[in-house]
Amino acid sequence: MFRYGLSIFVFFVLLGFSQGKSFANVDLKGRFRGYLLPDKLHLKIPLQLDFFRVGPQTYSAVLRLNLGHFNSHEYVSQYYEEVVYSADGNEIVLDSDDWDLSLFELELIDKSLKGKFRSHSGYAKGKVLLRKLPPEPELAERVLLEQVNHAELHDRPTFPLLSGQYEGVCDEVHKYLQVEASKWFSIFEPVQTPFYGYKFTGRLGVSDGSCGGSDSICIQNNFEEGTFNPYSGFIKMTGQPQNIRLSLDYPFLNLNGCKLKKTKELDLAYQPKDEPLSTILENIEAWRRSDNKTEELTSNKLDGYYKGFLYHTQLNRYQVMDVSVESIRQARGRSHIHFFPSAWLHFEHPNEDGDFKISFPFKKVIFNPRHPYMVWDSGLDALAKIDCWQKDLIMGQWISRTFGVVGPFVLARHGTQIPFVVNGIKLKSGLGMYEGKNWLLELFALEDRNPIDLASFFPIQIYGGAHIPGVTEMKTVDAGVYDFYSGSIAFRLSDTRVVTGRIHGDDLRLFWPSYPRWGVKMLPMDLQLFKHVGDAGR
Amino acid sequence: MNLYLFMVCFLTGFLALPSHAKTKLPPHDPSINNYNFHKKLSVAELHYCEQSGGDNKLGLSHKKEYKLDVLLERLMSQNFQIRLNAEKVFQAKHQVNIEIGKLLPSLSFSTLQAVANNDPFTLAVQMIGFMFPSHWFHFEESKLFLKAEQWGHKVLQANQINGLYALYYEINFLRALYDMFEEYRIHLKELLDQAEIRLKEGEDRLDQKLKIENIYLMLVSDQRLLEASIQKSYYQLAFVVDLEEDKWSEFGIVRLPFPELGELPEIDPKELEALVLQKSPEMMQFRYLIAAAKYSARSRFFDFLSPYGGKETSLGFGYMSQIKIGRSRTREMETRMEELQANLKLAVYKLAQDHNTALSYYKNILLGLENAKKWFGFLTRRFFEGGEYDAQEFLDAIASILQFHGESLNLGYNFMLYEAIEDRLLLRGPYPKLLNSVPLKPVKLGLKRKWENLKIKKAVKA
Repeated sequence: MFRYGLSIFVFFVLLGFSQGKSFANVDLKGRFRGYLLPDKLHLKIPLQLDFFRVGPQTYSAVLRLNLGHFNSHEYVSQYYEEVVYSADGNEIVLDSDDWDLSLFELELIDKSLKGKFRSHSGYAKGKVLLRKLPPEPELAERVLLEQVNHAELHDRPTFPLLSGQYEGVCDEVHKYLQVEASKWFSIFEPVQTPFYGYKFTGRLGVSDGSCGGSDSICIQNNFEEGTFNPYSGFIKMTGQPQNIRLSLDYPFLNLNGCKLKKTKELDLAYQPKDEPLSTILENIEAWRRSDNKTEELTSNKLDGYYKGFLYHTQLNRYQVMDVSVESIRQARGRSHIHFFPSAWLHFEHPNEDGDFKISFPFKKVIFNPRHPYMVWDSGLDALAKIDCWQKDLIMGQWISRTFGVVGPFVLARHGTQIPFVVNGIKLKSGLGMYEGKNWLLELFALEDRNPIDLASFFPIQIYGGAHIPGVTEMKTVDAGVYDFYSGSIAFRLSDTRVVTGRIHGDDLRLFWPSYPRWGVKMLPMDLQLFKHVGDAGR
Repeated sequence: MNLYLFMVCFLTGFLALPSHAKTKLPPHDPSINNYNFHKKLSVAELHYCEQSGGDNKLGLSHKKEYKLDVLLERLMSQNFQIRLNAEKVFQAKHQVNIEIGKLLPSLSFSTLQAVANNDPFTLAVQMIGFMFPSHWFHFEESKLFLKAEQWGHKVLQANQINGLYALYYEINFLRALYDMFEEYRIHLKELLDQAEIRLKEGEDRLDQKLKIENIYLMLVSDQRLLEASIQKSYYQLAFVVDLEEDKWSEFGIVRLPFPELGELPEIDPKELEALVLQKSPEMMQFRYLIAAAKYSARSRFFDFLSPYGGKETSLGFGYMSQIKIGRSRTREMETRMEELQANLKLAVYKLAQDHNTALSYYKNILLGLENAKKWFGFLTRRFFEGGEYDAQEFLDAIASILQFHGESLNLGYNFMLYEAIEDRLLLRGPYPKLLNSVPLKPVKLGLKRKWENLKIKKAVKA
């Protein structure tokens, strides 16, 4: 009897796992923000979780863990293709064999999501506290960044940005450490480290006047690679002539018992503080609320060329976006059809007639007029979640597996108009000729050229060169990434140094580190303005 | 008979110096110039040109530049204390040589070291003529001696002129060298400025900057030494031409253009030797000496040393002072002449050898200089257009340019000097018009001397 009862219990448990609990009564859709609270680290790590519906009762989710603040350039993200309920049906689980971070025992109470997390490669666990942001208008999220309110959070400082300059006196020697983190890779394979996809570079210097001038800081150590475990706070950096190991001892970094305090922060996230916000979001919402029903979409009306825009909510920028849809009808007797959408995102080029675009060919999509949860998947970083597809209009959300939900897009069939005003500033490509205080920089890319590494974050290989006219040789830019979702940019020079920075209007703000050799003067960690002076490839 | 003899002697004496007897001329003194040429020069003023600038960068601040011909005129018009002046020229040349020797090339440019160690004055012919006691010209055989003296005088003057040429060329060479240093000092300064910016901008290490800076400092130090040498050379030249002392500080020379060497022919030493032996003033002097010796009534000791020095101080060519001329010494004179021939031959062969050797590698030097400049230009283009930079390569290229440029300048001015020596040996080119003759001083002769002279004259005619 007991065995029989146990078998029935196991059957239902398995049934519950395999089918998952229905989300019919739970509205997860939207954005949650909150913190991870690691057990062994008395800090809180900003966490953002976007849920979007991919089926009648199915959600996908993108998680993003930021250091410093919610919009920082130091983040890791994970895409969960299917969000499931736990066996007892009350807890939400975000788990995947591919990902480092698992969220489990998540309970949605009112608008708060509480649960636990575990980092597989980070050997860490702890709590998760999230709060749902007001869904509409999304403009509100920019105002409510810090609205997650919980007693446990108050005495925990926010995990700081790693990028910055640290100083301290060690054995009566004033030491300086500079660390930059730049995102180079999106991940499509199981990860071995909790803070992945990043290139950590830096240098250690001392103020001993050995490189000219008594107040000069002179490089003693250069670091070309590194790893970072935010849950343990350990940082390892490899370089010449020595490797170092640091530990986060907030607010210090501990270097062999010597405490280094952060004196400068290198925040590369785009900060559109003084710019007028676009009214695109309000316009979309106003249109949605209006009586805009048109005829139902049929398979005969899929094909076509659509043009519109993608709005980046974090950057307050929009991009011109094209989509081409081409359907392929199956053999007779088959009711459904396939189609192949392709999208292009355009970047504005100042002072140039044409623009620069990158393409996103999506995988085959099966059309079902009664299925409103269509997702176009590129198989790489980009996803287009279709919310609405009427005769001449397509609306949806652009999602990056690496970044998370980027923002809404609206497309109108060729020959028709988007039914509301599109205003604001277009997103720049970051390419072109730039002039800094000393340096001349050229960044360019070859269109539709696959990156060397398919896992590169920016699906375009950046090339270029830089030099101080009449002073330095031309340094080749042999690799680069432009995180156009966060606005940060990084490129590697032929002498192995990595320049990091961010888009600043038409211009760039870059931290240009010193030549990576022992005995070179260490430059202060400041973002220098590089004015856009022309197009690349002149 | 006595009356007859008296009448003959009277008439001979009267006819011998028909005009001089009436003209009250000053006693023979080398410092007195009786010739029109020199009369013109004696009132000639020094012409100078305003300096065109360019030497002031490191302190060369001469305001008045004198041309070579003006200096030559000046030299030849100086009171005609020939031996003293010749001594001055010699001392000046010697002093300049010492100054060049002080130019310790801090840079490891071997050619500059060679230039500094080179003594272009050793190339100049140092043979000097000799003079006779003025009373010799009282004798008829001394007319031949007078001819010898005139040639000897020309030798002395020519050597002075040649010395002045050498000094003038040397200063030109030093100034060209200075300009070359200045040109590449500017290039080095650019490199240094670049290194400083690179250091400041965290693009390079201190050692690179220090290395360039030290090379720059060495170059500047050498340039300072060169500048001082040039200044001292000016003083030497001013001293030689007896310039008023208050003008020394403003004294300079007009720069000679670098010679257009073109396709210079080689010197054939045999051909030149024949010409030199034929036209050499030294040889002419000896020919007259030997001719005179044959008719000399008695042996006379030629104490023709400088009145200001002893036997062995006669410009280092004291062997001439040992010559005794007389009937019994004719053979000795011929031996001496053979010795002179050998010396001239040696001078000719040395000149030809130096000239031809220089000619043989001058093209290589020019090619090397062209290559080095191309190298530097290529590096510059590679830097500015190609974006590649290596400070060490620039230093190497500059060193190479300095090496070949310095050598080409050295050779260029040496060729000028070779030409001057050739002219001097053959007494051609500018020499003939610059040379004077020995002034002649009239004197009353006794009958015995007149008779002796008559015999010699007759014999010579025969």
